[in-house]
Amino acid sequence: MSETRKTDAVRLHRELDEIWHTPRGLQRLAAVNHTILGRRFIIAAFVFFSIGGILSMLIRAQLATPNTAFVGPEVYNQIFTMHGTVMMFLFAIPMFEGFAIYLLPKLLGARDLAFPRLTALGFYCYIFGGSILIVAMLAGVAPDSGWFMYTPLSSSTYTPGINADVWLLGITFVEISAISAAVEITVTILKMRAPGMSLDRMPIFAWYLLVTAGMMLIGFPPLILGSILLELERAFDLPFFDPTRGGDSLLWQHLFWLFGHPEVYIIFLPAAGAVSTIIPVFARRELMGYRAVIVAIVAVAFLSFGLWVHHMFTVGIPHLALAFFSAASALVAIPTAVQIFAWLATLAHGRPRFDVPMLYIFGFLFVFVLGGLTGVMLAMVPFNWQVHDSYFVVAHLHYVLVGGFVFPMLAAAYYWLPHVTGRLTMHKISVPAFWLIFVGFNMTFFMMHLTGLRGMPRRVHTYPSGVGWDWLNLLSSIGGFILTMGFALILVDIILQFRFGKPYRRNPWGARTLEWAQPNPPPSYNFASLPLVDRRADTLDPHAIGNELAAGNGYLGFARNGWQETLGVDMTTGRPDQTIVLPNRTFLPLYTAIAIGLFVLCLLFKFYWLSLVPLAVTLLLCLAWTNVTGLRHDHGELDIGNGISVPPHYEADGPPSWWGMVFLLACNGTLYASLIFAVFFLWLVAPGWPPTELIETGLILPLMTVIAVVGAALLSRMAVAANAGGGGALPLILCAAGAHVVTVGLLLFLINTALPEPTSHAYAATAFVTLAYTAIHSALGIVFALYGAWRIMNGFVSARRSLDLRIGKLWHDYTALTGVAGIALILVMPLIVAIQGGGQ
Amino acid sequence: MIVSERVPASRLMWLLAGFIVWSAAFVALYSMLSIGCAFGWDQAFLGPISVQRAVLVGLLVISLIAGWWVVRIAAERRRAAGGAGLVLRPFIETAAWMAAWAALASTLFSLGPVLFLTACH
Repeated sequence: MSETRKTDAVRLHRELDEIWHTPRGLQRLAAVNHTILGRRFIIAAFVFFSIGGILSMLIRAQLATPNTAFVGPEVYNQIFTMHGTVMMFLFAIPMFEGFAIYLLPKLLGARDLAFPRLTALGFYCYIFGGSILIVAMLAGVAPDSGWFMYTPLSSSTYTPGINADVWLLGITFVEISAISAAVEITVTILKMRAPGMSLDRMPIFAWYLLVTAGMMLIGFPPLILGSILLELERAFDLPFFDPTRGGDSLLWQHLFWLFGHPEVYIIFLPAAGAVSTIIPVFARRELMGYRAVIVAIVAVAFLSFGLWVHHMFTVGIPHLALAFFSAASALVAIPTAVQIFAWLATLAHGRPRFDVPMLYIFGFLFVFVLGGLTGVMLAMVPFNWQVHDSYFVVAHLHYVLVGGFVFPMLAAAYYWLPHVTGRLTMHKISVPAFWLIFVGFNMTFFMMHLTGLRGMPRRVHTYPSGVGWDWLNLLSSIGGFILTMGFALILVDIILQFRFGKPYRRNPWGARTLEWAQPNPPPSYNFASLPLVDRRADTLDPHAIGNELAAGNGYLGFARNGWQETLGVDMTTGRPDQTIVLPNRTFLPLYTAIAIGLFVLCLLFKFYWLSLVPLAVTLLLCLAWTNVTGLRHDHGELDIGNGISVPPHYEADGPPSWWGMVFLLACNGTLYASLIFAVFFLWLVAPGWPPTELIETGLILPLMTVIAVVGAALLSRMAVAANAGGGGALPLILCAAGAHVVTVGLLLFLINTALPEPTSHAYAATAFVTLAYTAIHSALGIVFALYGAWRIMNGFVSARRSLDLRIGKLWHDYTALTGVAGIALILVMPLIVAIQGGGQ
Repeated sequence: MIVSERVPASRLMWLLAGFIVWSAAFVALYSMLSIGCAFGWDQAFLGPISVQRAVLVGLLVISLIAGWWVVRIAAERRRAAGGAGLVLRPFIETAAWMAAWAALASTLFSLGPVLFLTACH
């Protein structure tokens, strides 16, 4: 680099860092920067992993020998429940989120994620929710019904304390983080890539993350609904899962596994994305079958939603239905195999070189393929019946999850850690650490296949001597401690790398993706200017690109107005279509998470009326987020460099926040569809139907409700149209708010007068929830409409700046759609219940 | 170089179209199986086959036709996208075509048991 260019680069660095950096001290709590938050997610997930690991050591200590009195059954129940819960909800998902949050903008050539404040909110919700669970464990009231919390064991009859509430509320709190990450990842990948990065040029990791985030939007809502329903049952006696009052405990299993099985692939796919990124680097050739791999991950994503009943093969479902799920369970092995063969072919056609990340890739391939094969065995119904709830299943799930997530994530950690630290790994410890983990893992879990086949059930706190399980369990326990030593060595290795690793400037592995075009550790703004991508984004030359970008020769190679600017692009072609101005650091996400946390704690300790206070504070804080968004005047197009100008995002057609609302509503719609499923499932399958008392609404009130809620949506649409025409939106949007007020009033009247007592029967309880769902959405519709009116009155809305109204329109449309469906369901249910009750 | 082709975002949905049909078929058959068993359709007969099987096989045939329709559309679009200088469009259309075939095969394999297994036992 010439001296002048170097000076320019340094000046540009200073200007941009002044805008993007986060000061030390208390200001760190206000951080919204994705690099900081990604690192925090990863560190927090590793802490929770350590807690889960200690719990697993307690389990292995207890089971090392027969008839052990180390811990009693009550404590043991809490230990294994918390081990599973921590590993699945507080380690695996957040670890993947952390990787995605840290890496994604760097891979895509952006300066941050689409919603930086949402990232921060997600982080604090994760930490607070996880802390509730850990504190409960330390207080001796941890969940103790197993990580999948089956009813009726987790119902108040059999778990009367707050143990199950801790799980239901704590995990739902944590899932705010998962949903926000999913929205964030989806929008960022679709809208915030580097100019020129069309879909066919995206790095393969981005495809994996896109598909995974889409799966999260569809996969998590059934569990959120299930948790809400179970908490309503426990707190207010609404009998969704109580078979004596028209409920069914199998409904919980369906809702849980509708989430639970896709969850396995939600964990696996990002790890596979890391593998697909790392192998080409060390094979020194492009990934073979790029397009076939994309099709394979789409196929895995869909098929994974058709497998959930293979966790329920023994509950008495018709054999034909079992055949559907058995076939789909076996089928999912094919697209998984497509990926494995693509990796093998890449290695076979390349010039592989061996390094520490490749050791863990080898471990991944060995362990995961074994887990996949036992998965196909478990997909076969007769075999599944034989080993159901035995240690064979424990062995299988650890081979799949540790093989499919932990080994690739360790490969990823060794591969990307130099990016975080700016230092190279001290390889002396990492190799023995790998072998300890590999040997320890296989010794621990391979034995469990055998104990399972010899009939040892899961979740027993001890077992008798002399039934052929003794030496296998002892070997498992010894293996478990070897495994732990391996992880301890990795921790030491990472600390050593931070302290003594050899500094380097850029791209130590000879990688060809954009994140290595940055100096390491990365600057606060990621790229001094944004790159033009003119080929596949995993075939680039980071050295050459890095120098050009640092000199400001890409897009947005300047600082303007103190704005945190990055680019928005067309979804498919990657053509720039907007300048996205991101919000600066703020304490609002922290305050909002604290308010939500207080709400959760109020519910946990059953201060239901008091919980309305933090709920109201949460709403006010969410409104306060909008203080810094938008402008009071039209701005027009902004120069982004290289002779191109694009509008700011609040004047563009499809800004990130609009798409964010679209994906959030898709997620919400899945929750609603799960509720509809629950209604029909109980009608068809649950005992105790038909109910003795049916809803008597007549037609007038429901029709008035439909008119009001649809009217609100139409008025909102008219407001948007009027605004586009140059004015007159204010009275229309105020009328929309009024229509929502009428809707809420009518729904409350219906709930109070037409519904049977919701605690009397699951029919009444589901009807109550269906109407309450629309009432809550309509109440929020009032907020959206009044907010739109406030923005109009304060000059934030014009024909060109209509984003506030258009986002509101999405909400009003959704409320109308689900409201009409809900009212129709309420009207139809008495008719179909009269035809036939279920469960007979 | 920024891609100059116009490729609407809705094209991305065609990558999912085949498996959306698979999902709809899966939900429809599983639901109708549950409804049929609850209502005793396996005990009512239309000639030699039960109402239950007639409904399920009918749904399978409809699903296969829908899946085949997606394959045909995807194949036509793939052919049409082969123009000179185009890169992005053939990429998406070919991926959509491959996914459509995979979904059609998945439909037949995972739902085919309605042709020969007893329904409500």
